[in-house]
Amino acid sequence: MKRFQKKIQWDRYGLVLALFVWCILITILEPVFISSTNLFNVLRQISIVSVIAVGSFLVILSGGIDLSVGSVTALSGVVAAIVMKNLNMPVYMGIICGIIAGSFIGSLNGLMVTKIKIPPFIATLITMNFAKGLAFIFTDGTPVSGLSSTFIFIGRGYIWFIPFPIIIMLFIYVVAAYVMKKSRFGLRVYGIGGNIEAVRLSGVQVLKYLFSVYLLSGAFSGMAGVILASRLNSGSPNVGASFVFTAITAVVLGGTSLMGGEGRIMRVLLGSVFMGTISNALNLLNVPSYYQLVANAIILLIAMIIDVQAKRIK
Amino acid sequence: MNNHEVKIKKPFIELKSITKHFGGIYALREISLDIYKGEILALVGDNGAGKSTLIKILSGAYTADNGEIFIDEAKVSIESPRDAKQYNIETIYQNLALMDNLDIPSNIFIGRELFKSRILKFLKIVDYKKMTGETESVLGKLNVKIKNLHEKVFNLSGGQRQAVAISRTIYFNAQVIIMDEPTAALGVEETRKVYDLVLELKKRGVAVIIISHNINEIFDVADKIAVLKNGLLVGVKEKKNTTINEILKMIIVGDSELRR
Repeated sequence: MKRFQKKIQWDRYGLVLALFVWCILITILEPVFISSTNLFNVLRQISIVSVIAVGSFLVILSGGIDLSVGSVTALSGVVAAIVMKNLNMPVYMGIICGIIAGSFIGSLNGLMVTKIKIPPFIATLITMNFAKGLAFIFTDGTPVSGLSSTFIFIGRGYIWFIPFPIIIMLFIYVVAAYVMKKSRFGLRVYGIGGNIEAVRLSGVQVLKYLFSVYLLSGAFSGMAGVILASRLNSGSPNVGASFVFTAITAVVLGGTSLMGGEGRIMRVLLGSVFMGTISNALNLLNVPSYYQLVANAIILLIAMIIDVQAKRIK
Repeated sequence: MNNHEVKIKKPFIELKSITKHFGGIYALREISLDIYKGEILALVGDNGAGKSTLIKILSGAYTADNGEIFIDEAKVSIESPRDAKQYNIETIYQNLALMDNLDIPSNIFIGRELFKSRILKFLKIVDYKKMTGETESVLGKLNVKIKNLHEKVFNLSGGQRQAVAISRTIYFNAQVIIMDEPTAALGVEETRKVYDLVLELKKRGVAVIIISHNINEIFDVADKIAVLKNGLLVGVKEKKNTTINEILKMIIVGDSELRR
């Protein structure tokens, strides 16, 4: 019994503890790590993928997967940039159109999964290529650069001393955490991840919820795309290839079960921070960036081993 | 049964000539059955006899290809689980249809959550506190004791899970409760408790339909026994006018009258 209780505690605090130990370790190797400038850097770097990860979390929680997020991010940034630069529309239209573009691809995912019953893995693989293709077609392969200074503020600005993208990220996480914990939507998505048939038999229109989850994932990728375009000062079709991997790793590292129904949104943020500190540490230690991919792969592997083990114990 | 009796007690649900086929195979053929309030009807038959199909039609999981359903003498169509719930027909499925990852109140209320009315209504903020309180009182009514209501359903015993499933139907004023193999996964003691719950439901005037493989067990608790075989209704017997042996014979051989 005592050992069982210890297990639960480890479940709850394992990630925090690991992150803590890891941070101490890097600080010993490279004290610059712990400086506030660097820590803000880490948070700013993860802000884009963290926003994507909220959507990935919802989809995974419902028992699905969304592979299209990286391409959707690129497409949304491209659409936002074109709307502002080529069509001379105001900044807010650029932002709205970017998010709509993401939501549009998300709704295609939702339709394929709920109406045609294509497995999420394949449905989102289809849109992954579709969205990427659109991004290249719209731009003819060249980034749309030189955006207005108002727009640039989203990705580069500061409020007092805090980078603006960090504020956006934290705001989204707080709202998402509240919705998932308190609202009917949250309860039902958790339920669907646990036993979709049971929720359906309880009289809930589950397909409507599944659709929303994919739509939202697209919308969050759209927001990320807008932030990224602002940060890069250009809408580029070439970005985002690594995002899907990083986002899913953050979600799984945060303890979300790939089977659906288990997970907490704030732990996803923690997972994302962990990923951020790892790539930051490798940079500080002058490890060539190619090793980054291998490191990420190993982290996802470890996270999956923990996930599978946890289920076996149950 | 004479005419006088029929006048006093009308069936709550009448199934008339219900037929269902999957592809070319008939799962149900012309099934007509009456269901009364405060009565426990056992539905028995071999595997593939059509018991599950029949209750799924009543609970909205399937729709019948042919036939009519009357509730309180009004013709109705039950096209989805939602419709069935509107007519106060609740079903407890064999696999229990619970969400293992959620706690007890969430399992009871999902699909019909209680909301906080003070906070902006359109946000649909779930009132977990109120749901927990209601859960406590409905479990109390059924004499079910579960220490921690916020335990995930995954961690409950088979009997406790069954109790959660039953409470869910009671809370929402079920007039007909359909139970598919309610004791299949239970031990002796827990089985007895579940049948106590069933008798409690009967006392409250609920119509209970139970599917079971265990004839001995069901014979103790049922008022009427309906036997299905190969999608046909072999017959409906009042318990007081029949024996276990006769029922077994009907299950295995089918009623000779129908065969001719």
